[in-house]
Amino acid sequence: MKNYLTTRNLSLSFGDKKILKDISFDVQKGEFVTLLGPSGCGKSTLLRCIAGLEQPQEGILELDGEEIQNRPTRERDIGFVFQHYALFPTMTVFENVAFGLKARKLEKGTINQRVFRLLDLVQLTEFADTNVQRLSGGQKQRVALARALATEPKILLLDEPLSALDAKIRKQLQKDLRHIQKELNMTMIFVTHDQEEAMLISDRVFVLEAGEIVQASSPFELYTSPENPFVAEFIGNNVSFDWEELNEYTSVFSGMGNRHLYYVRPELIATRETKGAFRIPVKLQSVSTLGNIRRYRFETNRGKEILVDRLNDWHDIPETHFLYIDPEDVIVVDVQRVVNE
Amino acid sequence: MKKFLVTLTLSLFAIYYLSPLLATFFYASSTSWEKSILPDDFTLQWFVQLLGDRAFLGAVGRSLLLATLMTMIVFIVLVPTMIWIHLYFPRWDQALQKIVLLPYAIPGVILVTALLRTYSKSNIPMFFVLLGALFISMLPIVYLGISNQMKLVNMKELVEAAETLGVPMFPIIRSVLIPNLKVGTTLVSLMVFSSVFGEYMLTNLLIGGRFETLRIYMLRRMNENGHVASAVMILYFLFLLVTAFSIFYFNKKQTKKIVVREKMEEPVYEKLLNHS
Repeated sequence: MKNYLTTRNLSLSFGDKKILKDISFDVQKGEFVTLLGPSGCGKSTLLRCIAGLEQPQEGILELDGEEIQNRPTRERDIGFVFQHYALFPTMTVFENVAFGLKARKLEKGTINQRVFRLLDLVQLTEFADTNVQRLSGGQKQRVALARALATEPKILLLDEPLSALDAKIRKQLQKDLRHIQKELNMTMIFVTHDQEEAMLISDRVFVLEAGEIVQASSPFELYTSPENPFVAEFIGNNVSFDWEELNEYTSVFSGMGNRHLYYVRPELIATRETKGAFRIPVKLQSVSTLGNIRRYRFETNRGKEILVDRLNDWHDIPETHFLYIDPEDVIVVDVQRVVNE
Repeated sequence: MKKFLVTLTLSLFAIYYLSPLLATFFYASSTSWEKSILPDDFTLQWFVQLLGDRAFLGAVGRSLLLATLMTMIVFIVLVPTMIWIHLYFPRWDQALQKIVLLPYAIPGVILVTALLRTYSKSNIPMFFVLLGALFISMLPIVYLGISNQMKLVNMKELVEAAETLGVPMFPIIRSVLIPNLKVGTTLVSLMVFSSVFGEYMLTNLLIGGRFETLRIYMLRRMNENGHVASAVMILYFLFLLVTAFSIFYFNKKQTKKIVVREKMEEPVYEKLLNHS
């Protein structure tokens, strides 16, 4: 598949502080990519660099076969959706969506048709002549999305567009966004710090840490095969062991040495003996209900906390117990990169 | 009880603010007010006398010229510069916020002495020096007023949003910057206009009698006749009131125009909706 957006060795510093360090990645046409990472990792800055709202000191940006790093924002043909909507407050919904089209001097009929097609897509047709300040947060973000799509950009960048919305509207918009992206076959790069959101809507997730992409994988690979301790600990819950600790319970990993960290996902830890599994003596400390799952917090005799997740119908946990881990479920991560740093 | 307390407090404030104005009005309307607690009689002769005085009309004209010129300079030079800084050099903002407060820190007499020493022997007319000094003295009002308005509407992000839509700078200024800065610019223009219109110290010390503005005229007449000076004060107040209302009315009319335009386009929407 042909690369649609390519970044090569993108670097940006503010003063002495390096915000983006040598970032290179490719995005294919029609792909939904999410930049995921904690606050301050550079994900929004990276998005702004692609849009031309920040100017990287080094690097190449290619979109649809053309270098764009030296073009001003308005000539890049890139749509952008802001976290706090950035709607023009003195305009109506229609005027907001039509604003970019009017600047392109399209015919009035074409503008009307395109705006209403998009308002229909984001289900806001009846609000066309409403001032945007009278809309709810979810509606405002739909207008922002329609406005960004109106100019038919080559790629759409979304900077934490759902983070200011409440949970219910957010979930609905996540679905809508993915639906719209597929319907228009639009290439989208989405920024979020919410891993669940990233996993839910993306084709691929790029995890950023301190201005670097530390892993770029599908959501499934990211969860099951993290490539470094940061990703393993950032994505989902887990129980981590160092080499010496694990050797107390099993000899399977004895040949690997302490260059590695070992992670187990809470839902893969068994409470009944299974073939080939090693066991860890534990004592139940507490139970909490997290909607469809219950989370059991155990402690080993050395005081190590082990979390176990089970569906809500699992009630037969005795107070003292053994937990069983299949060595195949242990994620082994090389810590060399961390040691070097 | 709570409502009563609020009404009482507001009434006390209203009395506190309005009583000097009312007293000035009564003094300007009295024949004489010296021997008892009430004026001897009421008259409009001081107002009539004032409006027939060519020196008064000249002073009004000069103040008007100065205030209008200064408001224009502020809008042509300062406001675009500030917008530019806010959008493209936001890091300068913190330093500038401190710098613009300097006119408050420098006593007027020192400022005037320095200006006289620097410019009195040069070929630059003192009127232009006065304009420059007034420009500097207006910096805190203009900078803080416009800067706060830009932060309030998140102007940087609005302009960025317009840029990502491929909109050139001129339509951005016309359709995004101006409408969203209207409230701030209206208030700032009113404050600049009224401050310069009533300015005394810089004008008096730099040019004095050679360019008699309304306030200089008023103080001169105060020594001659207190009733006339009070009449000047009342007319000055009424003039600023009318100016303020005119600016607000003009703004409201502009907003109404936008609403009417929106409504006129409504049938087009409906036609399209019915068509689809």
